[in-house]
Amino acid sequence: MTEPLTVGFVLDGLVALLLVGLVFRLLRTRHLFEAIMLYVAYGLTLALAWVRLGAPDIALAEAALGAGVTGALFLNAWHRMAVRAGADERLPMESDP
Amino acid sequence: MTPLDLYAWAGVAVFLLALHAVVTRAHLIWKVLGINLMGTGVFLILLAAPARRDPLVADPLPQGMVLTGIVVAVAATALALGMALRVMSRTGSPFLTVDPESADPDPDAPEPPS
Amino acid sequence: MSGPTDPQANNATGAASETGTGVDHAHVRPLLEDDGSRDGPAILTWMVGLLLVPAGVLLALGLRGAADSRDPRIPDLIAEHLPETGVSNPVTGVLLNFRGYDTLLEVAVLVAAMVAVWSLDRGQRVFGLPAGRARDEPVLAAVLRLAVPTAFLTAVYLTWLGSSEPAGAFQAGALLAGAGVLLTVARVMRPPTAAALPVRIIAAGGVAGFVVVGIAVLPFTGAFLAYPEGWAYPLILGLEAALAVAVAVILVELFVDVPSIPAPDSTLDTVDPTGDPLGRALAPDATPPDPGAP
Repeated sequence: MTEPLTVGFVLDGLVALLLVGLVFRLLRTRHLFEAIMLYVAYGLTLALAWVRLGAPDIALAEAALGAGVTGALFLNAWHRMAVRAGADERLPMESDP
Repeated sequence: MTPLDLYAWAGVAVFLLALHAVVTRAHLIWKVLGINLMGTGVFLILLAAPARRDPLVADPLPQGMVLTGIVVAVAATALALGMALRVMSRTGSPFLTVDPESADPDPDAPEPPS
Repeated sequence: MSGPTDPQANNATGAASETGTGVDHAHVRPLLEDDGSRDGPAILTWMVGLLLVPAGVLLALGLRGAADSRDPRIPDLIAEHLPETGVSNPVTGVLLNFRGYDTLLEVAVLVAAMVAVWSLDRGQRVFGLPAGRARDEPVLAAVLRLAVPTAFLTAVYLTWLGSSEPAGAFQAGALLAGAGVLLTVARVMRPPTAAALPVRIIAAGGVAGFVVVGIAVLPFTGAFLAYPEGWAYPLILGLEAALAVAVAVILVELFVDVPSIPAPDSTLDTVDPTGDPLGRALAPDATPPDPGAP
């Protein structure tokens, strides 16, 4: 059974491809910051997918929790590692006067 | 092939890619990312796979379960990240197996077993 | 704005001149940049990938069967009984009425995660971040003035809206937590760790509210968390409000309590020298006191 090629179907295909592509890229990259940024982008794309799947409740939760809070948690971890690695001395969280 | 199938396949692909990364990548943060992404793949399958009368309105029951899952996934990710950072603070290395040549001279490091 | 006495300009140039000096980048590089040298041989990576192909085929076969295995009556049952839940958003009805146990235990998991993350530093820290002044950056201040009140207002609205439209306590709690994290990283707010009693009371409030409501309805309906007729809407709204605040506090704590990575030659300066306010602090290298000792 073949579906007629509608705008919505093409959009769904693009979102699904984008999801898989973002995951592939963020799991293959060697730079942690890039991976975290791609993770946030993935979370927001996933929110788009939830809307297309007729689940606006989950879209809202995904955008706020999945992309927002989890992204902040990863960035927080990145920052602590960056302070340790000496790459981000401008914002030391542990030794501010 | 319906739009729902598309997202279910995307969920399968995301799950497998993330599982591969969890197994093969040594860096702890990527393992945490991978476990989190495996969860999102399951959510996609859970919501997109079941049969529906109306493809535009999702079942409220799996929606509630996925919502619960997202919240629990955040908590689990925070705990996993905390444990990964704890490992780094003890060993100075983001890997579980410490390479003795590059290990930190950490005075807080656990004493070697005698 | 960019005169020679501008402290921010000085900061920026100072930081720029420091970059690349004295830091042993090769030593700490894998923290932020994984060159893959620890990943094991490439052949292993390919073999794991090869192994996942049959797993994918199995998953695909299972997916085909999944469409037939789901009971098709469930959506109809939910729609039929939705008026009894007191709310008109079916997802909220499922979360707080039909599957109230699920949500109760979900919040319990959140509290447990908060305590677990806090304990990773052996519970030494009283404050997640050292005392700081709000950064005198005009853009940040303007963003905070706009974003934080908007987030608070939207969170209240989302909690109330959850009974009829796609929204609810968890979305509202996440939004509140976002505002809290913003205030924390801008050094406007200095949240205590989970050691503080108010934090514990609010965080446990979600679970406690659920349990109290669940037991309170027992004499009327004879079942745990089965709301009496006519009382479902106010009870769910009250629970949602308690949940939103508890979820927000827990999420901020998950952000704040994550252990930091001290440099090898420094001590954690966030350790409170006077010890834990609960009187159970451990010195960094002390062994826990033996409760059985006289």
